[in-house]
Amino acid sequence: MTLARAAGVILSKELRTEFRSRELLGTTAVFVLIVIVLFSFTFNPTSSESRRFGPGLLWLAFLFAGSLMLQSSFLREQTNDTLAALRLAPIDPFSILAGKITANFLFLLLVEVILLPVFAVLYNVAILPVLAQLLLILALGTIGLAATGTVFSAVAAQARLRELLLPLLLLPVLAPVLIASTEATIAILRDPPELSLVWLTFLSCFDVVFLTAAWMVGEYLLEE
Amino acid sequence: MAQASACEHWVDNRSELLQETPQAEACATYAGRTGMKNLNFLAAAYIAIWLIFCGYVLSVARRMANLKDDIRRLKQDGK
Amino acid sequence: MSTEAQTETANRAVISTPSILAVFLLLAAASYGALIWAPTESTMGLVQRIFYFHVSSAWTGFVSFILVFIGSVAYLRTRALKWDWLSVASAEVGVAFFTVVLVTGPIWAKPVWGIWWTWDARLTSSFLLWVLFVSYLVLRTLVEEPERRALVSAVFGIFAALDIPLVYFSIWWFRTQHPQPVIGDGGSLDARMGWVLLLCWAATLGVMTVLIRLRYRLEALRAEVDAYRMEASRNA
Repeated sequence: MTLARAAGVILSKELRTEFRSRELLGTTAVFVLIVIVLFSFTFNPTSSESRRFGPGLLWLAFLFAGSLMLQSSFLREQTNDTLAALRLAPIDPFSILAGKITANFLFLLLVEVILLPVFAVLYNVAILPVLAQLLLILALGTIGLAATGTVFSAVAAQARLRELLLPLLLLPVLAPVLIASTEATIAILRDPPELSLVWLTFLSCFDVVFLTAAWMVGEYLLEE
Repeated sequence: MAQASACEHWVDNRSELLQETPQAEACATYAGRTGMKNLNFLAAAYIAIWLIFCGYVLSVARRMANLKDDIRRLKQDGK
Repeated sequence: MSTEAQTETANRAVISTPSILAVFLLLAAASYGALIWAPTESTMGLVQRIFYFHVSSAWTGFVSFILVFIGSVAYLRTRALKWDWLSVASAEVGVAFFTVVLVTGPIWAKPVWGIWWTWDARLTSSFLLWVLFVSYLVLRTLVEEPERRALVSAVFGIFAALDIPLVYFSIWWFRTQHPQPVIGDGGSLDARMGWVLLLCWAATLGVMTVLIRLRYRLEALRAEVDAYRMEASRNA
């Protein structure tokens, strides 16, 4: 089975498992919503202030939610020891990782897309005119989040205190994503909107570097 | 000295130098060089550097001593 | 390679007295250069002399983290634990150097700018790198089994090290957009200052080498203890 085919199978398995219960998606979305509401108490959410602080807080909310949600990526496998079974299959070990990264990317992107209009309404930010660009920024940032997060959840699964460890490992590494995504979002929400090529290129570089790194360490991480 | 009195204000309010007004720029040299407390900060920095490295070496040495004790104990129990 | 043979090799990587002496001399020369020989800077005065070791420590910490990357990659490819020992030694020593940067930065900033901290590019990057490698060390304490610990640390170490240039660039570009007072700038740099800076860097690199070798030896000893423990539990 080719890498892409195998990853596709894993991806559909992940999607099916999740959509059967939808508990992970629902819980994550509610968590981001809570964070968005709480943030409103930390500054005066006028339109101009929201455009300055809102994007940063939104991305922080996504990063926190991501680092909590990504836990379950490998935890679910551990409870039923299904990972061992997966490893025995005659497929490239990276396809397991690739399938999970793609699944996590889709989940996180879905949560973000659901919460974006909520954020826009609550903080009086106009997103419709720049929706396509916003989605691009969301996608690029989320790829980085999903790639690193999935690898680190495999790492944390082998350690103690894994619920605390995953955010501890993930958040510092994702600081560049936070900076770049926030700045790009601020730029696009400005009046007049500005698509920040520097930050988008940077995000793409980040994604390429860490997807490649995930590819290279994948087989070592999932062995034994 | 005209310059000294004009710049006295900045010596004690160095954070205002951040404002980069022409007066601030003119007084930056005077404000920076004045004060024995500069020497205290310099000393504090070098002492801090030594403390950090000595602290680290001591921590490694202590762990090494503990491990050597463990080895001695394990060798004895093994006999 | 048996653990005893490994420890033997580690002990041979011991810090020889001539090399310690050499580093001490280098350090003495660098300190003399920084404290006395270098000219006093015009706007900042005496306090500016902190700059030499502040900046050298940052560069040396950076070199240590490159060694973490090398050790991590080498471990994944060879599975020889000695590379893991190199990684942890370099990570700890790097954290020590960045602690120096984070402590001397504010001590310098206070008399010069009147504030303890600004989120300027070098300090912020140093802080983030410090946090990143402290996380690396925390990860290690949470995994008991030596080979598994080495494996997961190598994976995280590689990711953390790859992150370093991305951290530097993003923070630097962010700061260019939103300027802040710069701490850790030498001010006007003349030729003698440049030489002293290089000398200080050489001295800190020497200190780094000595400390890494010391810490490496500790890790080798720890492996020996683990081996004895396993043997003891097997015989029990």
